[in-house]
Amino acid sequence: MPAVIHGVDRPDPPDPMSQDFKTELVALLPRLRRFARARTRTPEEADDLVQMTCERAWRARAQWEPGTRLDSWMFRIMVNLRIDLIRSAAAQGLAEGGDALDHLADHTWVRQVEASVRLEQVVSVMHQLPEAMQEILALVTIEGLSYKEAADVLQVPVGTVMSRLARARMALVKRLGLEPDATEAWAT
Amino acid sequence: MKTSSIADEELMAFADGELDNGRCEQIRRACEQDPRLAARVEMFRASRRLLTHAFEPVLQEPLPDRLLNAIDSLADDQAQPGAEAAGPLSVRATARRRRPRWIPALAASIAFVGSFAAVWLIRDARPGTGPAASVAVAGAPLAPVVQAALEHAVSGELVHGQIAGHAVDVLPRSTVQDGAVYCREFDVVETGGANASPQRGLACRDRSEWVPRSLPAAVPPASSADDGYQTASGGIEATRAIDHAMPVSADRERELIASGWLSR
Repeated sequence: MPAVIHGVDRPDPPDPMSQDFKTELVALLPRLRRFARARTRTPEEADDLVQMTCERAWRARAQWEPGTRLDSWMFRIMVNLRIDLIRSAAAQGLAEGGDALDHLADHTWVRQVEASVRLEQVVSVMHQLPEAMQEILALVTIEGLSYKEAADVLQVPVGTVMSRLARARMALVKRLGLEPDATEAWAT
Repeated sequence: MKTSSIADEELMAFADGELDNGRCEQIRRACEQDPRLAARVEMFRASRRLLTHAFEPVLQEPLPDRLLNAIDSLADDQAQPGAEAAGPLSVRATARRRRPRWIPALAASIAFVGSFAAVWLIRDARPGTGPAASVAVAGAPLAPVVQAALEHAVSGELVHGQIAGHAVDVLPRSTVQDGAVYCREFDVVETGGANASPQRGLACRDRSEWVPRSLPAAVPPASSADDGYQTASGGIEATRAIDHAMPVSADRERELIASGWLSR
């Protein structure tokens, strides 16, 4: 029988799922880190985001339904958290990414075929895309969620996922110099 | 450049294996006849390959101790009854208190958010109080005009009023439902004032009043609203600010207003 602690709400009974939940969090860490890395400029920033996501998920763990996908649920938390952080940065006058985009406008990407694109370049271009594009690209093309799963994470219709994703991929390849019109040779 | 009648979204879905078999076969045939279509499909495939490969190495990195330790200490918190969340969630934790309070003395909870930005949070701000008095706490009562707008106006309806002698417009933007709780995102702008940039806030109905969920923030520049982010109903931002929030339709919103938000 649980003891009553005076002056304090009685704590929840020890949660047998806690340890399992923690284990699942650790198992998801590599993918959470990858998802975060696709959205932030530095590895440190990415790990901060992962840590905050884990903390928020831990507090909200009663709301996660076992049997549903924990990864999607965690991605949704991270997506929300990222928006919060960008907003509070904006409130503090810390503009995010603006000058990087200006810089990009002056930068001429050499047209290259896919094989010669360096992966660091892909990372760099990814980080220069608008937030909404990074988000959808990270969910679908990096984390491998289906359109439907990404729609659930972002709470938007599947059609919105598709149009946003198509535009984001176009923007990415364009900035990498891989526009289809420049690479008709592929088709042969 | 226009290459065919097949939309990019559909070519992309084909490249991603998201189409049903029938349509898949049609597009496959179209691609065989039109090299430009095939090139476009290949470009969508390439974008996935490039991104997958670029971020794959992160999976192989050793997990940093700081994250493993952080998760360990999360587990420890569970054993400490009453240990309240600190850190990144402090604003949420404050907003979740049963009764909103206004505690000027509690410096740790106070945020200075600019001379006008804060004013709309304060119910009884006196005209003439300087910026130093204009502090806001998440959980502080909203000014009456904001309360009234959230209570009675549909999203998109501009409400005119005054806060501490300043003429303002309040614009409820959207409504979401978080379990049994209703939350609304809104903008406040000082009309005719020197500071005419709108401030955006989020408030949830607790018993009979609207309580801020977030400190006021300048309406973000294009960053989060670009790329067609906003829906017609504007529900996306507020939906994303609260875990598990569901957008409320315009019809449902009218019913809720008519019923006094079910007068909880």
